[in-house]
Amino acid sequence: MDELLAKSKQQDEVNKYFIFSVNGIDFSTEIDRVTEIITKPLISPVPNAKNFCKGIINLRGTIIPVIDMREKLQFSSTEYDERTCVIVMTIQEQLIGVIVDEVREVTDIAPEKLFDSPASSMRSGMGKNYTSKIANLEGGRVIQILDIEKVFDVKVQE
Amino acid sequence: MAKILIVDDAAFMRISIKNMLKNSDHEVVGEAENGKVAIEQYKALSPDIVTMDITMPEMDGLEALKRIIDLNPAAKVIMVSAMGQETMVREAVMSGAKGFIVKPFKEDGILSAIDKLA
Amino acid sequence: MLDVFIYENQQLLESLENVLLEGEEEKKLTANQINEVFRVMHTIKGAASMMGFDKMALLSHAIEDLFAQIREFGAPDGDWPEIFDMVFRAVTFFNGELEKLLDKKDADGDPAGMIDQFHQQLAKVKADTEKSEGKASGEAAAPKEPEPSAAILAAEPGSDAPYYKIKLRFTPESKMENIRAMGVIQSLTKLCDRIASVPAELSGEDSAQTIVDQGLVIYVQSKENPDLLKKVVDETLFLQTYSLLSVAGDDEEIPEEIRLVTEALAPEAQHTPQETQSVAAVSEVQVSSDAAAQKTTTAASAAKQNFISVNVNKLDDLLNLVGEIVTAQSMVTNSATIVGIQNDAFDVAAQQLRSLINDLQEIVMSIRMLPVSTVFHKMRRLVRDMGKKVNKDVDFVMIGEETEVDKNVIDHLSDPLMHIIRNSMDHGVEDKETRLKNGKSPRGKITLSAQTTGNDVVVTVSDDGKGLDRKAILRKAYEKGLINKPENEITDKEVYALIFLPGFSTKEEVSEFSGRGVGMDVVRKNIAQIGGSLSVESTPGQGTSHIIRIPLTLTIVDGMRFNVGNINFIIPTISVRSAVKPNLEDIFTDSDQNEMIMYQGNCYSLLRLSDYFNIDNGVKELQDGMIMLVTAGGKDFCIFFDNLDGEYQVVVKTLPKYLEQCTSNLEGISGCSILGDGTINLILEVGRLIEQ
Repeated sequence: MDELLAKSKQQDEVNKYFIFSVNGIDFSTEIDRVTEIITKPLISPVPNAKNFCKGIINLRGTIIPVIDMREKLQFSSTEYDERTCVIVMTIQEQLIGVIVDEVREVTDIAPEKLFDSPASSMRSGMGKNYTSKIANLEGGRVIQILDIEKVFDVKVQE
Repeated sequence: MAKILIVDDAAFMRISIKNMLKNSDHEVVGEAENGKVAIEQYKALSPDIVTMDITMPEMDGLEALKRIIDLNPAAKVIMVSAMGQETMVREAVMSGAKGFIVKPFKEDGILSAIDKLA
Repeated sequence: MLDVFIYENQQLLESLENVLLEGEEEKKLTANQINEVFRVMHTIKGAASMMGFDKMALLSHAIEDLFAQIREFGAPDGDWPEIFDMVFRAVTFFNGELEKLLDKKDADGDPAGMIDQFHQQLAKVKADTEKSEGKASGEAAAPKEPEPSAAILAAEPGSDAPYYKIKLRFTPESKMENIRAMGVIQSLTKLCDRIASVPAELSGEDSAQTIVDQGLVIYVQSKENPDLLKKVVDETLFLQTYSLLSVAGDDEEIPEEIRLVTEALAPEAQHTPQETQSVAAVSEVQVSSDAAAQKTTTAASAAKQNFISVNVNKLDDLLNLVGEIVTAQSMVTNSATIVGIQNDAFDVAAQQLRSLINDLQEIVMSIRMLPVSTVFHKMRRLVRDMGKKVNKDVDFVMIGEETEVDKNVIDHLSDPLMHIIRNSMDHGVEDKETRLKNGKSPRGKITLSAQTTGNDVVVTVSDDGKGLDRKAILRKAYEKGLINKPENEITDKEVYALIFLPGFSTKEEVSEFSGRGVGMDVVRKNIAQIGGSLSVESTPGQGTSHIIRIPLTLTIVDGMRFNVGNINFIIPTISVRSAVKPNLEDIFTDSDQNEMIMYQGNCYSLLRLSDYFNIDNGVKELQDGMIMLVTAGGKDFCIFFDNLDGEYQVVVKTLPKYLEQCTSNLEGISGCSILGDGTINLILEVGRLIEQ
């Protein structure tokens, strides 16, 4: 997966999206937000953690928090298996690890294939729309482009 | 082919010129950040060509040029100047500088000058 | 390249700012200082133009011109305040552009207004200088030299040496073509009896333009072989084309001053005109852009090898590596103890290893140490700017600016200091009338000091303002429900501590300069991020001191490792008095249902970490776990946990900021540490536990 990531970064990054699946649904974010993928992560738990936070991991000397995307999107939690991995993303200049069910692929999505999300897409418990756009690909495949910043709501402190 | 001594008080300029010469077959043998060091380096390294900035602390390029020409009347020194320094450039040319290049310049400019003297 | 550009110019601007601040106190600049400003602007102009940052080049050029004038002819006293303000604003502009470049954004600022101002200022200074000195301030350069008249040399009249016409053009954009022309003439002169140029006058910009438009023509009379003349011309740099033709000495196009007067024309055939094309045409070669955004290391010139500049990333890697070596060494020693090796040779070797690694750690830390002066000087500028904004005259005193701290600390010290000083300037220091009314000096004073005391660096910001207002703080605290005790039971110290509570700062206090009224709790958190602490002392009417304590060796700590459930902790050894398995008989509950324990004749509170941290997969029964007697700030108490693992030397790392949004309560955890087995252990801060 890392070679795929590396190769795709060398080319023009404008329309490339990183696709992963959670609870059987394909989600996606812009490729330049993803810095790496960790398989078999060693997660250390922290106390008083909210349900979506599984703990912290050591990324070559830097400590980053690990968030379970399932729980963040309010699906039921599940057992981790060998396909579970941590996607390291840059959100508001912070590195955050995100656990997903499966990493799918990196692909080009031309702007014409993107549409505004209808009312039925992912919403937070309070109705906040987490999806910025919907992509309609060949074969009727639908991918939700997540507004990652909204999902994680990283507060930038002064 | 030629051994070059780069003289400029700004590290940025020294690195810029060094970079511009990277793909040529000239060799940067030394750097100096003022006229005084330039003379020491000239004596120590005997470069073929010197690129000499004009405005520098301790001893400026003009003074250093004159002293290097004293040491070696055949010394090849290219002054590096900015617009507005006509008087000093003129004096440099009259004092034996082989020529001058005016900032800003690109790789082909400095290369053409050095190639010609090498 | 960009990195060097940014770094070097930031350094130059910083030193320039210091020069300006010093000069402003004297209300003008000395000759040396003026020269310094000129030089800095000249360097920035050169570098900016090389990088294609034309707007920056134009601004620095405008300032350079102004200071060239001032360097030569001075500036009237009355003009200086305006000049200082303008240059400070320009420095702010340059710094802003460099910051943008650092953030990989475009340097898209437009200094057009400022450039105009500088041009106007130049005109004003010229006019004012003329007025006061009654002499014309001419071009800001030129000792008047006699113009080398590019014309005649003493030659024997009627010499029969041949005449040649040399025509040449310089490469486009080679600039100062008139000076280049002088150079060619200079080299030809020693080979010629007579020499004249067209244009004849080469000392103005117009002549350069003429040469660009029409080319340069040099007429010479010389006995030398024309090939030699050609060779000399050919050596000229930035020559595009040239030609050398024989001409008749009395040809009319030859300037009168050197033209042959006699009619007799040598009937020899003219040399076949040889138009020699030289030197390649100029082709635009794109300067190759740097491949990676990697910073490069630069080595000093051979003459001065005392310092080298090192990429900070490498230092971070080095420090991380040292940290891991410390941890690894600790793991090795511990496994030996656990396995039960009793071996003198091993002990000696282990001790030697530990000692060597300590030395290594100290040296690496010292490489990263920098004097706090850069941060301090930034504050100086802040005090000056704020003084103008809030109209208060404040002296700024720096003590101990050469004190060294880790680079990481320097990076994180700037923001807290800025907030504290803003508060002092805004709310602490009174305005002139109030001060005079209270018998104080009209100028306020802010002192910024740094000193090392044992293991810490103490940075203090003191003002001689009106001090913290106990009544006002209490009122706010009561309003916000931050405190319940009756007023007469609260000591001054406790009152002052209230300002650090989250939610204390009020938005109403947003002054134009303090911006969003950043609360002291945020300032303290920032300081905690570098392992430091912040406290405040105040005397009403006399002033306030903010004291920042930062541990010097902030990364490595000796600690005891233990676990509660599946979470691993490290508690600093200095906080631990002892650890035992508890006796059930020693434990009881008091009237408030708090657990207490009798231990070594004393009674202590017992804190179950599993309760405190809401860890439910740990040991429940007291007899299955362990207790530790811990201490902080003179207070002792006991904590209950599962298992004790052993003593380790660990490297402290900060927890990610986002974690605060992922947990409900992290009070009592000051950081974490990565151990050799890859687990991350949380570092317990006993002092905070006590407060709960």
